[in-house]
Amino acid sequence: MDLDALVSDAQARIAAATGSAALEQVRIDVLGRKAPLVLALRELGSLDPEERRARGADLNRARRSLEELVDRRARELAEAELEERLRSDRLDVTLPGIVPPRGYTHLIEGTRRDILDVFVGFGYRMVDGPEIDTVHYNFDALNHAPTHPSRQVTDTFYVCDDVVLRTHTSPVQIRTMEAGPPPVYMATAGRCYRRDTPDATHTAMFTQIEGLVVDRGITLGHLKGTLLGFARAIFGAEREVRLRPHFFPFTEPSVEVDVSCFNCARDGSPCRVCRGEGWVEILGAGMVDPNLYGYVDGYDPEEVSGFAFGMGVERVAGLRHDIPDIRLLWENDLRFMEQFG
Amino acid sequence: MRVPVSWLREYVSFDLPPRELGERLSMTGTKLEALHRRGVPRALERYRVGRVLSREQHPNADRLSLCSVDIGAGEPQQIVCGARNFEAGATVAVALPGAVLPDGTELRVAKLRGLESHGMMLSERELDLGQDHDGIMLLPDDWPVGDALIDHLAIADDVLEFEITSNRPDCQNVHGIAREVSAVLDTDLADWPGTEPEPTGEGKAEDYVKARIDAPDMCPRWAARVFTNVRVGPSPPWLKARISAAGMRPISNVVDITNYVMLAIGEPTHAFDLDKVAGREIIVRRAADGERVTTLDGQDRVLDTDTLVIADAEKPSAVAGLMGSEWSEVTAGTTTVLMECANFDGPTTQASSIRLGLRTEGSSRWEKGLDPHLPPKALRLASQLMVELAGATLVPGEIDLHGDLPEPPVVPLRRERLEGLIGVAYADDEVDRALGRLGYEWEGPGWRVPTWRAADTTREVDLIEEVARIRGLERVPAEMPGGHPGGGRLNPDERLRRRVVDVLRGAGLSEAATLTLWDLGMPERLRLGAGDRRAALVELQNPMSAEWAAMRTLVFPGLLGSARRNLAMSAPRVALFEIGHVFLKGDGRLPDQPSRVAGVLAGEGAGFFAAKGVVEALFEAARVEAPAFRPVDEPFLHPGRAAAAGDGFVGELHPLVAEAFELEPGVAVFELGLDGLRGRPPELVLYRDVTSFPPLRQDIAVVVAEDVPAGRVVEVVRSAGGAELTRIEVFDVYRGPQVGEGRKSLALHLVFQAPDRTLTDAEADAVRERIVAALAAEVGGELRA
Repeated sequence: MDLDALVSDAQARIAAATGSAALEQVRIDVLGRKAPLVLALRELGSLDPEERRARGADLNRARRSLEELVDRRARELAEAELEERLRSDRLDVTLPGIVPPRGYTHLIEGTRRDILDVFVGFGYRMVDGPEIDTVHYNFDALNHAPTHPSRQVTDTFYVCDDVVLRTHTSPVQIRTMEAGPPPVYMATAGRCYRRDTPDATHTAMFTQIEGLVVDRGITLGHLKGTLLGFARAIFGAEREVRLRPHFFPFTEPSVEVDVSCFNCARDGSPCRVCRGEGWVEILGAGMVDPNLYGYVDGYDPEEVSGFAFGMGVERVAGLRHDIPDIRLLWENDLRFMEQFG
Repeated sequence: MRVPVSWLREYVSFDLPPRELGERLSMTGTKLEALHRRGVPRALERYRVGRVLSREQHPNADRLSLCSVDIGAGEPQQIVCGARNFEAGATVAVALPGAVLPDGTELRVAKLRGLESHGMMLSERELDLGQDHDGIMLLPDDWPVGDALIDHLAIADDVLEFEITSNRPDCQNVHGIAREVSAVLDTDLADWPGTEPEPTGEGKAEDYVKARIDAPDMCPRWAARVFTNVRVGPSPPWLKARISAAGMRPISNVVDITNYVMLAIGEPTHAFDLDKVAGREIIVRRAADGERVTTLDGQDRVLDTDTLVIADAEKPSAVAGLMGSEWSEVTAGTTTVLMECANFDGPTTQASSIRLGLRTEGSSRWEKGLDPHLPPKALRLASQLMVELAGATLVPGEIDLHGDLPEPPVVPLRRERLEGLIGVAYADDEVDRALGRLGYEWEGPGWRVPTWRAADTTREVDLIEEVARIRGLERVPAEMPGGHPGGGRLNPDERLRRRVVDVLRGAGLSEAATLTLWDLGMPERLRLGAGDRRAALVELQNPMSAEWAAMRTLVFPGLLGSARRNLAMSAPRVALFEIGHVFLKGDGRLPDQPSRVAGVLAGEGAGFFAAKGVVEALFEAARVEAPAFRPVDEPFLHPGRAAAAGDGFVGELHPLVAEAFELEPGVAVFELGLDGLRGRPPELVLYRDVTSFPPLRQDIAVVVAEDVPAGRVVEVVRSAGGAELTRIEVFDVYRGPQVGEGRKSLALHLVFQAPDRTLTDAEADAVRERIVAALAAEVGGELRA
């Protein structure tokens, strides 16, 4: 066997291999179990020691050099092949992605969560109450005079003489106080019903969020601070609130609460939200009327005082997102819903 | 309540511009709804008091006069006029060129039939003071010629329109608003308007009319005076101007006086033509059932015994507090007037108003409850005006029937309570002045409440409210209370609700909100049988429309309409869900009101398995073991494509139901009780070792008869597999020649795992053999090679 010829032939074949597969074939041919070089190495044992050492050194050197050569060529080829693959794998990354189907949050649900989370952050505990409730909880225990106009069949849906579709979430105030002694920091949310002819700002069914606080030393200032915190969380950090005296049967004093207009600040044009007044009415509130404590046990108006507030989720959502007609919220039009994801 | 500013100024003085005044009142509880500008918009100096010096026929027009009119300064003006109701010497209202009329017209020197007219003599209608356009307005002769007209007559006015809350009937009049102004600005309020005229009539009031109250519960007080020699005619311009500005229509002096008294001090007042009162007798009584009256608006009305009437000897002369009758109406020929100032019960009047569908300026005041001490004040003002404006003679004496009138309470006010509730410190005199200006009087231990607030102010907290609002809420500091000592949190229901919302949204469904109100035809459209609990709707006694007549018993039907509308707007795929209450009749006073979640899948990719997958995902996310989905008969679902799921269902709509909702077949729905998704609370879930001993996976294919449900096969495999078989998944169904007619092959993916050791192949094989044997024995299954 002419080792030099064999090596130079192998070197030529390694250099000529044009791909990983071809190189592997060459490797098998020149370094595989049946390659002449490997067979020669295996036959070394039959030589005498003197000759074996010299021949062995030559053969091993040749094998190592060929191995190195194969490895180097393999790396070259791999690099070239990777280059080639990366080139051919190239995508038009500006084509659209494959989007998994995605559902949208309803704006009422989203707004409801935002508001509730604010009050949970303020230390309120959430409770629920029934949508169909008794006249006792909806009106009587909330200090509505027997002739209060909202009791009229023109205003309230009756199921029977003493059961109504609740007109507000305020019955939960009484139910919460019945359930346990003060302190109370309660938030509740749910659907309410009024016989309002639907228009851009009214629907016969709407969602209300209510809060009730009863504790020692609660003041109107605490109500103002709470609603200021709420207004800033929901309508922006720059907001101010103002309280305007009003009348509700179950609070005394009662107030309507305005938030400084958040639309005016957005652009200088005449404001459609506040009609140039700079303030937008967002909710009704007040100090818990002491008469309410007479309907439950364990609440002494000489010991504790409290405040309550109630707001329409649709109104907050409508104001926040500049929705011209809150009836849109009930249409479940996907083209509307996808805007608020 | 519309309050003309010029009228308001008669009772209280202020320097603020009207809008600013209105805003101050808004911030103290009397909300400014609108500010109207009424009458002449500008250039008021172009309106003068004038006197006609001469009136001649226009040479070129039969119907026109040529007048020379003295307007004080400068030369008399030549004015061409079409009216005929005046002569030389008349005092008139003149608009000079440059004047702008209330309708916006600007006056110029005009040529009428060849002659110049340097101005215009005005009718009431042209000045927006009344309807009268038959001639020009004739002014009192003692108004100095050349004076600005506005100094004598409110030809221009700002009108403040306030929202009055139901507890403040005392603010439904100009004097009441003036009292608020006086308190807010801390300035003096004029006395109640009205001065007693000399009663110069003959005899006494009770000689003219006998009166009695038969229903004192509905009428705590009935008072009246009698006027003779009444001359019914038009009211003077100033009165018309005030009534018009306040939003009412001038009618005649007597009627206008009654309205003026109501607008000025808040007591609805009624005038009867006493000569038309049968028997000259007044009986305040309940109407007889079915008794009829023709009210002033020409309506024939049928009354009942809960309605209070002012009757004469024969019939009702008025529905108390609402409206008079045609047959006792004051007309042009009336000479004897019975002027009634009474006190009617608020609830009675309100109930009658609703029953009769008749709401008037009067009833809107009565229904809130009025001060029973008002009638004498009202009679005094009415008497003054009757004498001055209708030339009437007041008959001495009056009728005033009443029992004990309620004494207004004396209410104590503790300073520390005031400051403790509002969170503001007040000075002594701030409190005293606020309450004093509002009419409260300090009496010993407390404040004597004025009669007009006695119904609303009975407790310390009511006084606190008065002080706080008058002293302003702007000074209340914004402070934060401490919050619940145990911290705030969402309740478990809300957390569950949010989990469900998030899972469904992640599964590609969008949240919807639909009405919980149904029409009564819904159960039929859903094919619910009469015995079905969900067909027994909780109905409303007073629905707004047939469309919203009862409460829903299922959530998903509301979504069908939304799905249809979205499909109609070319959405290729609609996937919606809603969480909400349903309302089922129960044993209690209130219906059962459980929360449910429902979904609808329509359009591309919809179908039974898509919906079932969503339900399975829900159970998995809720950490609740998925129920066995057994075939179920729900009347609204396709009988072959419906499964029970917990306390709900999943399936494709029954073709008839789909048709009723105008949907294509293949729409899938699901609905579950939220309670069924209440898994173990997240905080109670314990760690389970899943890493130490790896699972062993094997797939098998079993051939069974076509009618063996996959669920049954899985059940058999599960019970035969024992504890080490931790998961079974059907991943393929094959039908074809290789398995034979009427048979199918189910491919199952099995996972074996033990918590305490690595399973050997031998152990798994043993389990597998048990499974194969059970399949053969129980469902005739054969392993497919």
